[in-house]
Order: sequence, then C-alpha cells, then structure tokens
Amino acid sequence: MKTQGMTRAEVEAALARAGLEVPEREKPEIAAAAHFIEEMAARLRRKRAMAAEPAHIFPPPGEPLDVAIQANLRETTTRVLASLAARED
Amino acid sequence: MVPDFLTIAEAGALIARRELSPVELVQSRLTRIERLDGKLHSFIRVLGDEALAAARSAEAEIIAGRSRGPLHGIPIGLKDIYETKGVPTTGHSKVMIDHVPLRDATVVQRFSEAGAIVLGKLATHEFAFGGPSFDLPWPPARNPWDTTRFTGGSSSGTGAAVAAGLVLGGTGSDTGGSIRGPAAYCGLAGLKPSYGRISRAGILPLAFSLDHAGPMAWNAEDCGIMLQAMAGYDPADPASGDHPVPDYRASLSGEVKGLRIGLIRHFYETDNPANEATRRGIAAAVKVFEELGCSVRELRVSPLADWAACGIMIMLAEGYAIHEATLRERFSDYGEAFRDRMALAVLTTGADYVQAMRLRRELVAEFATAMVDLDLVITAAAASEAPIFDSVGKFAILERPSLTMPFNVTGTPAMSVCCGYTTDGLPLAFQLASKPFDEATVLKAAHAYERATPWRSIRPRLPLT
Repeated sequence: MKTQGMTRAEVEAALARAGLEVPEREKPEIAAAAHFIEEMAARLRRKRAMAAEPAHIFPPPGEPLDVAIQANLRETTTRVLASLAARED
Repeated sequence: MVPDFLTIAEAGALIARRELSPVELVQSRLTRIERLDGKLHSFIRVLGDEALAAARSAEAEIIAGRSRGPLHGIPIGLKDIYETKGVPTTGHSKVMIDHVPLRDATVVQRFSEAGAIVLGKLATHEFAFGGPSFDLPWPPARNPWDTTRFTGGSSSGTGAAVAAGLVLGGTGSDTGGSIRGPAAYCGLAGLKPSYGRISRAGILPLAFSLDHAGPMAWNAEDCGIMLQAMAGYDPADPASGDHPVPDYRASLSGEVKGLRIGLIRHFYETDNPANEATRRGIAAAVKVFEELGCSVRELRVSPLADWAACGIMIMLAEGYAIHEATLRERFSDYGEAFRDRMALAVLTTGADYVQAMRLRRELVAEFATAMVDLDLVITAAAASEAPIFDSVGKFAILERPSLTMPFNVTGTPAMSVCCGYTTDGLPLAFQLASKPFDEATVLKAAHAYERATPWRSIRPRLPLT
C-alpha cells in the first residue's frame, strides 16, 4: 500500500497544531507509528460511485428508524454487489 | 463452606433452594478478594459494606418468597466505566479520578432490579483504550492463569476477577474487542451483543458507533443470564434497538443439529496468523460442531486489514472528538499508552473518517450477504494465548489487524469461547458470530460446545505464587 510517508517534522507540526503538549521523549515514538495511520487511510480509499454513502444515516424526522435502516441496507447491498462485479471486469 | 468457584447458574440454583445464603456468598468473595487481589489488581474499588448490606436485603427478600430471578444475590463487578450513583467512576484515569456520578448507568439500574450484588469497580485500560499501563493511579490487572501475563484489554479487571472467582460475572465494554480479548486470555466466555442490544447510557464512551456493553462470565449460560438482565430498549441511548428480548436461557437446549457455520480461516491463517496451538484448538472445535450435527464450510470475506483499518479510523476519530479538549489541557494527566495512541488521531482527516464510514457500509453489506445461508461464523478470538506483559507494546493494536474488530464494524453479536489450554495451562479461544440481534444462536452454540468439551471444568490454580 503506497503512502505519502510523513516526516517526523510533519508529525510534530500536526501535534503542535492540535495543541497537544507531547513530552519530547514521546514525539519520535508517535512519529514512528504514523505509518500505521497512513496505511490504514490508504486502505479506506477505493473505487466507488460518487454517491456511495457512509454507514451513518440520519433518518428524516418521523421516519421509523427500522424502515430507513432496512431500505438503506437493501440499497447498499445491491450497490456493493454491482460495484464488485465492475471491479472484476 | 462456599466453594472457591461457582457459576452464576449454580449459585442461583443453590440460593433458590436456600442452600446458599447471599450473605455467605458475598462474604466468601470479599474474603477471596482480600486474599488474592493484592496480586491480581482486578479491583480498583471494593464496595464491601454496601455489598453486604445489599446481600442482607436480598436474603430477606428471598426468604420472604420474593425472589427476583437467577441473579438475585449474585456478586458481580462493574468495569469502571459504568457509572454508579455516589461511587466514583474513573475510567481508571487520573483525568476523572474525582468523578462521582449522580445516577447509575441504565445497565447498573437493571442489575439492581434483578437483585445482583455489586462488589466493586473493576480495572480497565484507561477509558477502555490505553493499556496495559503502569503510570495510572492504579496498576493494571494481572492474569490469574499466570500473573506475568497480560489479561487482554480493555475489560482487564473483569477478565481477571471472573477467572479468579472473585466475582461470578462482570461487565465489559467492547469497541474493538475489549470483551472478547480479555475473555480469550483469561479463559472466560465473553459476549459482545449486537450494537443497540444493551444500553450504553451512563457508560463512559470510547467511540460512539463502535461501543458495545456486554457480559463476561465463566460460561455461555452465565452470559445468557446476565444478558437477560442487561438487554432491552432504552430511550436514553439514541442507538438503542427496540427489538424483543428472547428468553436466552430457554435457547440453551443443547440441540444445534442443522446449524450452518461459516469458517473464516483466512483471518487467522494468513491475515493475522495465529499460533499452532490456537489453530489446533479451532480445528478441534470445528470437529466438535460437526459431530454435534452442524455443517461447516469455509467462508472468505474482505481481508482482516480492511476491517481493522475501518474500525480503528472510526475509533480514533470518535475517541479524539470526546477527549480533544482534555488532551489539549491535561495531556500528561493521561497515561502514556492512551495519550500517544490517541494523539495519532491528529494525523487523520475528516475525509478519512467519512471514507471509513463508506467502507463500513460496504463491509456491513458484505457480511449480511455472506450470512444469507449461514447461522454462525467461527474464527479466532486471539492469535495466541496471553502474552507476557513486557511484550505488549504501546502501539500493539496497530501492529497486527484485530481479529475481533470485524464484528464491531458490523455491530453483530460475537462471543469468545474457551477451546482448551496450552501445554503451560494457558487458555485458548475461538470466536462465534451471528446475525444482528441473534445472540440466542451464539449462546446456544457456545453452550453446546462447552457441554461437549471438558474445558469448563478447569479453573486457574490459586492461591497465586
């Protein structure tokens, strides 16, 4: 999985921008673990339809939640199966 | 003389027949805690006086013919993220060391209504995430099977206390495996029910969309008894599911003939290779299920790393949102394991979170499709027996993809089941999972397996040396 490869300076800058007062001893250890995040972030990204929805839904007020969930699940299952076939082509 | 080890079902039956007094039972556990917990560190707060008072009340009610059911008079422990009215609930952290809740968590109320006796608050990884840690106000819990070994986490104190017989059952929470991991390493049964089955109201959150509350006990029957009290709709939890709660104990018929099981072998053979003892244990468990009349076929799903990436990204984003302000103000008041792991969240983006949620929808649909002609899946619960403490690194959860995270991503029931012991006597485990809100089938299969094998008759050798 190809990643950007954050440098230690970039990691430290991100920590500082977030306002975290990380002890000096721990900064290189966090930086050394940054590749895990990059690898996972890369793994999340794949060819998807523009309209592919995330898992969290917000049913319209008054809509029974179960109905909304079931409808979404059916729709998503259909879409995912279709996208799997497309990738195999 | 109260036996050192009793299951909830055994103790409940003795109490119902008035052959065991709740007061004697609670006193015997308090004595045991006094004798053993100096080395196990499973409790961070023992509520001895309160427990004895509750036991006396339970005894009086039972004698008066007002039994509340199989948990009446049963001593349990609560992971210290379950809020308890008037009793500190700290998340095992300096950050919340003075937090005294004004009310009980919904689950704590339900245990109280069922007559269970809370013996105290149990150790956890800090806020159910960072550990094992030696820089917190309390030491980490130790594994009763070998105190040089890790309990697993984050429900570490519950794992240790139940395995050592200090309580008969306890509560855990599971965001990426925090019930099933300690259950596996400590030789217990640990059930992560469906997302929405048990209220999260009054439980300190780690990641809203992945957090599950659940029972940890010696066997599946005891988990079923606890789940019966814990489960059910709660309007105080926006994720609570309004589904009927079946009679879990009634489902433990022992009859599993005809169940269709998918074996996800690639999770523990290639994606996160388990050691030989674990693989042998799972292979033997598959044979047991086949002999019981189940059909088992191999099932392939997305690689474990996909499920882990999805779950961990969500966990970091949601967890960081909860702790962001406090991390800015009091970074060094958190333990190193928690703060450094959580600090990695600043390297993620909003888009990462949404991409994880898009992947989650796909993985949920994939699992639902795979389960259309299956009742259960079986896979590893852990890649090995409990490791020694020193080998568990600060970023261990990132080094190998979690075997338990897939069922947090799907929100479906999953349970750790003990499947034997290493030659050194350390517990091994597999995992059973099922369809949404079908905890009954998981419990039924686990119970049948436990009855067909000798593993539930073996307890850790105590007192500790």
